[in-house]
Amino acid sequence: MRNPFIPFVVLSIVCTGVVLSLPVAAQAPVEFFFKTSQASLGTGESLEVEVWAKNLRRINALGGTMQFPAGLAAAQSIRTGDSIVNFWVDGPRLSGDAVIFAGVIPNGFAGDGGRLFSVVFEGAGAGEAVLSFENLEAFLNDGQGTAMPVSGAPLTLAVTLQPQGAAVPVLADVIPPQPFELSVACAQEVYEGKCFVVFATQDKESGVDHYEIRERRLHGLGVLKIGVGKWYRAQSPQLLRDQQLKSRIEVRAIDAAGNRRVMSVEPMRALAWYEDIGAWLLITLGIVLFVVVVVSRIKKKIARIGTPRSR
Amino acid sequence: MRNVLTALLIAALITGAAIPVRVSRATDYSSTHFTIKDPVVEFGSGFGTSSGFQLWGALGQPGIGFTTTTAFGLKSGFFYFLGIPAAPDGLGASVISQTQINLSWTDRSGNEAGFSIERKTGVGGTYAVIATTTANVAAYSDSTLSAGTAYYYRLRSFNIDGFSSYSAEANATTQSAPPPGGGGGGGGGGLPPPSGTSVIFRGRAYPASYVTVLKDGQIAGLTKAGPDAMFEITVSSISAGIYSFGIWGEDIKGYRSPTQTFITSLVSGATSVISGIFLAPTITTDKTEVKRGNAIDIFGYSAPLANVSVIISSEEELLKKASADTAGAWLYKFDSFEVNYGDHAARSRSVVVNDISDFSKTVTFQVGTRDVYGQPPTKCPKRADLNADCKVNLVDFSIAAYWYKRALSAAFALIEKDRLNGDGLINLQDFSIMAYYWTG
Repeated sequence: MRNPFIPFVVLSIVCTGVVLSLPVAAQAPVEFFFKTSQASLGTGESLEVEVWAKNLRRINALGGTMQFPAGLAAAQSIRTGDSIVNFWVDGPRLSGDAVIFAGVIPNGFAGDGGRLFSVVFEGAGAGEAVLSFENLEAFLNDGQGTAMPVSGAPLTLAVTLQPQGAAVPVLADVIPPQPFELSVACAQEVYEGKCFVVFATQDKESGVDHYEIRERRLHGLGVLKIGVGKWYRAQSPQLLRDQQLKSRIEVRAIDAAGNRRVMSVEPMRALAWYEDIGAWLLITLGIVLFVVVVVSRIKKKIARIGTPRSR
Repeated sequence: MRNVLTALLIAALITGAAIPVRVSRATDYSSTHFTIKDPVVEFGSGFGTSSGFQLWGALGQPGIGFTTTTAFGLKSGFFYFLGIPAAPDGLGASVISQTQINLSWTDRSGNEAGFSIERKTGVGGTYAVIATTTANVAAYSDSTLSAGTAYYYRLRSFNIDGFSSYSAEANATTQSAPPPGGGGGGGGGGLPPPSGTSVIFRGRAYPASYVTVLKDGQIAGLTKAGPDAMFEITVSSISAGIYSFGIWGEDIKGYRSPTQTFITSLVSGATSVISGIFLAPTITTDKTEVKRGNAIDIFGYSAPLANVSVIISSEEELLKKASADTAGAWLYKFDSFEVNYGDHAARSRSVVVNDISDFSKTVTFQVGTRDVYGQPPTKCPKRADLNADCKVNLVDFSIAAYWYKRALSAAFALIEKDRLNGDGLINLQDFSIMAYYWTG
């Protein structure tokens, strides 16, 4: 009996084959555009402008520069929460009158479009502030990095001296960034073979603002291990200060609302006993006890010797 | 009469001398431990399992472990030593939950009987074997752990000849149990994600295959499909939001499917179910070049009894049909006479009842003037694996990010040329290549 699904399967294969064999230029260009709740704001008011992209099916890397006239609309902050970009290669970051961004979506995007990030602007001077894109790029998930045609639609914001009721929604973010993994690696490819730690996570609400790292050598025994170390800003791949890998490495991701997620990795190598202050404390304690015992015994002996004399 | 006998004897000698004797080459039966030289050729005895030779004697024990001081065994035919298998490498440990850590590694040997996995708690713990796998396994899920505890792992392969050396150590710390009343992530200042937000993935892969789930590009789950190829993975303890999930499978031969991606918006406190997933078949060929007129085997794995469509891309596309057996294996013998000399490509997709898979990866082959047999699967991505650990993940991403728009060192320029786009720079196109080969 003939399988009734065969014609459908053949048709779907043919259709898919046709789609896949279409020349790149025949596919719709990736469009970058802005979204905002209103197109005007007063000086001193803040407005959030979102950067979106569409026609992203099978796109796995995109980037570009967003230009703005800082004299009219000054960028205050950048939010990356709920972005479709999984890993940022560069930014999004402020650079003069521009926001630079470049990121990847491993294995390609499965939908049509989505939000990349947003910028909070403050009205700085009256006039028409034109936000635009430059140096846009998008690449196909085909293993070759085929460049796709791109386009960017500008946005004009009217900045007035009169208030326009613009306001940025307060981020009610009480959830820390997602748990993440720390991987320590020593590779000839970077830092001349020195060891480094890699990390990345996301925050679905306000977005990860930055990372900090702390390396601590822990001294002591069992659960009584203590160590000190200072937190400092970090960026993956972060070169480790303790190249002997005898420190506990802690990395914390801090989102735009200040929530923190701390992840750690235990020392790769144990401290030698003579490097452990706890061991020296124990030795010192032992010596002190020994001296105390010896001194007390000597005192007793002296006391015994002294007693007949006194008789 | 005497002359007749003499003539017959001479005729017999001449005939005997004229019979071509093809001696089996000793190197066919060598191993790292010994070589059998000059096997005796005997016609028509039917004694040996191989045609045309018989082993008359050998010195030494025929196989380690087979004969001991208290037990003796004898088997007919040749024995040869497998040799100690190569050690696995690339051991990685991923934290999944408070009680689960998933391990993955690279199988570097082709003759192992399995892998012995060892674990210790904390730096100062003592290693003990926690599991032994069968051959060609490259992942393990350790799911009986305590919250907030650091675990260390190592493993080695083994066969009848003995154990390999150990892999490098990997460690991970299970997620901490949420403190009563909140306080996020150990650093304070936040709340843990609402409990109960999770997503379940159900579908078909290949019988006894390993299925990996990526959440926003990082490994979030691993499971083994049943003999019917069905699998189910739950990713839990995550916050609400839009996620990009990817799923890929690895068949029992080590060939991987392309990654199927899903964009999912998760609602706080709810469990989402994504069902009907049907991973694309795995695909490979037995030859990289086939002599025109000879057949080339195009094969792989899919769900049991799946109908597999094989598309040969040539001047015209050719559509061929194959069927998977009950173990999911499928094979199509393609007659290379059907296409001209040159480069060709093949891919496939499967149908089971009403489910249709995506397309498989594309394999290429050449129709030429000779047969060139392909290499066994390496399990390593062909490109983008910058640190050569057979994975394309955050470490490779970070290495590339380090060199982003910077002048490359001479050593890294060679890597960039070999594994990325080879333009002497690290730019967004290189990251696109990396994203395609991403394994997590």
